[in-house]
Amino acid sequence: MTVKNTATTKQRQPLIWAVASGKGGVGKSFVAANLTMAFAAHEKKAVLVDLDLGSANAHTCLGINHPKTTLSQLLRHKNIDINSLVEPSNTPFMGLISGSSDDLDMANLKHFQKLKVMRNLRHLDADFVILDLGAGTGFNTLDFFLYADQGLLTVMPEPTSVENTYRFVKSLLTRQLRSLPKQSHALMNDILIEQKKDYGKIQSFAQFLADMLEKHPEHGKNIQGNLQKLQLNLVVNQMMDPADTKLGDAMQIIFHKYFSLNLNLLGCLHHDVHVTQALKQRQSYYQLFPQSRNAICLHRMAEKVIKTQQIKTNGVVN
Amino acid sequence: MASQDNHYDTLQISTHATTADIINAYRDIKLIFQENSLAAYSLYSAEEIATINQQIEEAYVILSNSQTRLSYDITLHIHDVERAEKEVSHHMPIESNNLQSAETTPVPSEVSGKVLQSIRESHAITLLQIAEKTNISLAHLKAIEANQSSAFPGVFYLKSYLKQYASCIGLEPCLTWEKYLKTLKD
Ligand SMILES: Nc1ncnc2c1ncn2[C@@H]1O[C@H](COP(=O)(O)OP(=O)(O)O)[C@@H](O)[C@H]1O
Ligand SMILES: [Mg+2]
Repeated sequence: MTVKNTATTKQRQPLIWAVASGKGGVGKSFVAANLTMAFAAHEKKAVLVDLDLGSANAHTCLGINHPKTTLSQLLRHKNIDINSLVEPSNTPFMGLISGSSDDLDMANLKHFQKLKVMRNLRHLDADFVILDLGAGTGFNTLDFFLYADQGLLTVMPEPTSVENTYRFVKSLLTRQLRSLPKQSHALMNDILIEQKKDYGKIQSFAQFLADMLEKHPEHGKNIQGNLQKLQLNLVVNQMMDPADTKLGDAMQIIFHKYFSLNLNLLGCLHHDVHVTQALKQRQSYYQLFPQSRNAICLHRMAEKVIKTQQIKTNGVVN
Repeated sequence: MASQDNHYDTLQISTHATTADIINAYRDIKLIFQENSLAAYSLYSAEEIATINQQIEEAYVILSNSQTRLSYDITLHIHDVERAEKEVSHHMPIESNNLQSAETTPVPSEVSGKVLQSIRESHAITLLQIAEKTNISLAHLKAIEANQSSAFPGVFYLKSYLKQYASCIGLEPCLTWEKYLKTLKD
């Protein structure tokens, strides 16, 4: 892989994006893989890391048949450069680290192994590192999601997918807040017990936060600070009917109202039979159907992310 | 639950929202919280959704009417200068039958409190007269002539008072305000 500007190569820290969803089959791998392609099309070096350990298939979405190197080598060997595990591809600016290996499973990843992977991700020579995370709310999945600079939730317009997305966010919040001091947790518990007494059930997270801020401002602010670290984005995938276009906006409002969280709606993708066709032809959808509205939307999503990032680093906007 | 939300929070709009914003926000949020809404059903019970819908209706009724909205804003201590100004120009045009309605004085190129005071005195108008005419307190009138913008609860008040003051001494209110503001800023 060639990079134009070698001067920036050494210093650059990749921006890590984690792609997750509450449930499988929503299109995480599809979105992660094709967003990676879109970054590469903008001449940003992008590496897709398949962290759906146990059922890794991101390589298939990219049209790479049998990855020769996998992440398990990083864990087995002591001194190995993570960059040597990047599977080259025919596409300039794009690479893959496969997670497909019989001896790797996300659920069984040990704490020190997780830390080793995280540490090494930062050393990847890339502008963007995209993590394809597995479904569900396992601790390791949540931790990778929280470790990333940006989290991307994929959802599709069906009740189970939306419901599981909320479940994922609830688990995420619980995980994120676990590091608060003991005293905070005790006070949080009091608030929850009180809510149960007053309303018969636990109220929205936003209400919980409001109660915390009112009764224990110091602790409440601390929680608020913790939440502000979360950078959440949403992609609606597999839209079928025109009414589905509303789901993204609706979830954005609900996130704010219920979770007190900002959700950036990155884009909406349609259900398209060509997705399967591309898989069958062992090519990436983005490359095979560059003129499809999904590919155009993915292109714009990447552009938006790149521009936002440029503004951030150049300090035009804080 | 959203019981402590104010009407703006309920509709998820800023306090600067225009009437059009309010109507659009109302439509959108009604859709989100309709029965069996895909985005809402799994977080809220049917009962909660009913309550939220009630809040939405209430918020819309209050905020979609500029009079009730203005009163509501006061209870929230919101002084949206820009918007309030628009409302004011609609509902209570600045009186034109002031002390010096007939002959008007040209607005000088620089307008400060001192300049205003000397123009007022040249017309032999007392502050008390202006206070009686406009219902603006003497203290505020004195603050205008002393360039004390901090004496006012917000720019909106200063602007409104200054314009009325200007009319009373025969100056064109808008232009006078512009120049006065410039002096304050410099
Ligand atoms: N926009 C889409 N249109 C049509 N099919 C899609 C779309 N996105 C994903 N799919 C299909 O849905 C299935 C699940 O997608 P995948 O990316 O593997 O989901 P996940 O990684 O979340 O489990 C795959 O068969 C894929 O081809
Ligand atoms: Mg997958």
